[in-house]
Amino acid sequence: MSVLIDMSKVYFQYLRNQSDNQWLLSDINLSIEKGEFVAILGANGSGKSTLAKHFNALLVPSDGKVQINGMDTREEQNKLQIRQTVGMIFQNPDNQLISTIIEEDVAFAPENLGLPPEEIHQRVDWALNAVDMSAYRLHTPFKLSGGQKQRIAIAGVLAMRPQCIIMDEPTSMLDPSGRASVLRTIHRLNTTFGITIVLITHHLEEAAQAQRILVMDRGRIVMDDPPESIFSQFELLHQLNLGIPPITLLTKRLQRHGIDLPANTMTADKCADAIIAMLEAHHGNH
Amino acid sequence: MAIIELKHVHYAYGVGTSFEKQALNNISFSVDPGDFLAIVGHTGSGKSTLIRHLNGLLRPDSGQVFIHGKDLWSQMKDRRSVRFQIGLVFQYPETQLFEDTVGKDIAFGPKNMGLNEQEVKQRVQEALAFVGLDASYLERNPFRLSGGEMRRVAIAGVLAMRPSVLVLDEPTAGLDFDGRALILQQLEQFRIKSGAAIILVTHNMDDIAEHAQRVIVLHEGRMVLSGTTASVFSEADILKQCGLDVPQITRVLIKLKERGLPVRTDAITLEAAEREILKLFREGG
Ligand SMILES: Nc1ncnc2c1ncn2[C@@H]1O[C@H](COP(=O)(O)OP(=O)(O)OP(=O)(O)O)[C@@H](O)[C@H]1O
Ligand SMILES: Nc1ncnc2c1ncn2[C@@H]1O[C@H](COP(=O)(O)OP(=O)(O)OP(=O)(O)O)[C@@H](O)[C@H]1O
Ligand SMILES: [Mg+2]
Ligand SMILES: [Mg+2]
Repeated sequence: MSVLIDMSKVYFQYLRNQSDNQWLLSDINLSIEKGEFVAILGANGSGKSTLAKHFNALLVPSDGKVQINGMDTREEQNKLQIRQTVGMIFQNPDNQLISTIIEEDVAFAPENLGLPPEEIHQRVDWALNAVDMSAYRLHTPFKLSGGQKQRIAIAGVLAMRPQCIIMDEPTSMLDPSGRASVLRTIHRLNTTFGITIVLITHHLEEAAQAQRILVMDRGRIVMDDPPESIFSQFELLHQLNLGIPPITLLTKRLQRHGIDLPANTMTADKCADAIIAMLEAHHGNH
Repeated sequence: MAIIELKHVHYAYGVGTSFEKQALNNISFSVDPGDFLAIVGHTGSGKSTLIRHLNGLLRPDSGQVFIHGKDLWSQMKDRRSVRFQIGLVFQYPETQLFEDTVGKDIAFGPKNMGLNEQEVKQRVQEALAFVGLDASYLERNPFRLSGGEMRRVAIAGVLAMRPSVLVLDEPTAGLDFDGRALILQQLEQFRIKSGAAIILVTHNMDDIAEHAQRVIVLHEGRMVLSGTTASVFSEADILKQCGLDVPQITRVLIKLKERGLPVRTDAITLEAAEREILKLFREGG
């Protein structure tokens, strides 16, 4: 495996020469390998979006070094190639939609890559299909519902098919089925195309699907572990304001009555399976 | 008397163009003081379009909107004042912020209502605390905040007007766990103290289960379900067809029932679900 994103001793603030407690990022040392699927959790204002903007040179460190495929993000001549390597889906899709016709909007990045028209056409079809918005290809993105805009913003980056996709809360405005389908697409991009995924989210259930979770707190990375180990640390999750999913709360309540369900049960299906297994054991003993 | 009543509201975008879209189809419902109503529906089902009708931002093609019993479009001269009574928090908070400091942004509504300086100041402080931000934010530029911080400021701005109906479009999207819990709790407090009605548009079924009294389900511009929260969540199949879901807790019970276990599937709170599951262990299979 080889390293795609490499950050060492990174500090960041918008205005230079402020006092030390003004750092929005502090002592970030991070390396993400090609093909990884990483989720980032953290409270509002903890620095998730600020960190993500360092991955494609939208922001550059005040101190320390960020390299993408070995390219230093501070070097002006690297920026174009870095942005083609790392695609970013922003928190608010309005910041991302540019053309007045959806299919042009989605074609924007592949056109900039200088791909042949046939290939562009195929990618646009595929990307719109992946977010279930093919019917809207000739509409204008500015007259869509909130969730539809979010889907178009996702399609725009999918069509670019970069080596790495950063998604900043891509499902915040989607209904449950829309969220599930975006997550399926993310998995497919990761496993089929080997695209590196960085997913910023406030939904623990979504983060649980990654291979690795980073937790941010006041500008620092305070945890960097696989989901199972993160979710078994309830107290810490609570302290860091990340909350506990309802299913986990139910599990905890049942445990208090001596029903010994596994601690890291996170989905309804797994919870039901575990309860049934316990019931069988329980009644078997009588 | 109902604060808001909609009767047979229809609305289409782009009438006469090739993009014509019937966004609302025969919508009728009413909201009383103290109600906590949730509006749900898949992406593009018409939720944001619907709530824009509640304070006169959009005018129905046909049908009527009554505010305190008066027809908004034929009996009310001062439609602008409706915006102070019926406060709307938009889906993307950035679209709502425009002043150069957070303090001025939150003060905008109360100032326009003609309140004196002292009162405005007090309301700004109250609203800021309500959304969990400290006074250090007052002098900050609202466009240089994190996504969740911006949303909190947008909510504070509407709250400072102390409207009699507070309509929020996905207010908890982008908020962290504490922020979500805080805002929902505060809304509940505000409702109880002031007797205001709350209308919440959200995709988060768990939030609805915990807070809403009634739920309206939209599907392709039509109201397909409307009733108490428990009764709406007992329609798991219809919800699924609409791209929606039941709360996660309820899903566990539905799974158990599918496997032949004798549980009720209308439990939507942790307590109720716990009770149902414990019964299984006591009763014996
Ligand atoms: N343009 C800016 N200028 C100055 N400070 C900023 C700017 N953008 C964000 N900040 C501050 O930097 C901190 C980190 O913001 P960031 O957007 O990275 O948070 P986040 O973890 O993405 O939060 P959220 O979950 O709310 O999106 C916040 O305290 C925020 O107020
Ligand atoms: N300004 C507009 N012009 C034309 N069509 C529009 C406009 N705004 C919304 N629409 C269309 O009307 C329908 C309803 O949109 P609306 O924004 O009310 O949906 P929504 O239920 O709020 O969805 P979401 O959950 O994605 O926010 C959608 O199909 C949308 O594409
Ligand atoms: Mg952010
Ligand atoms: Mg909407």
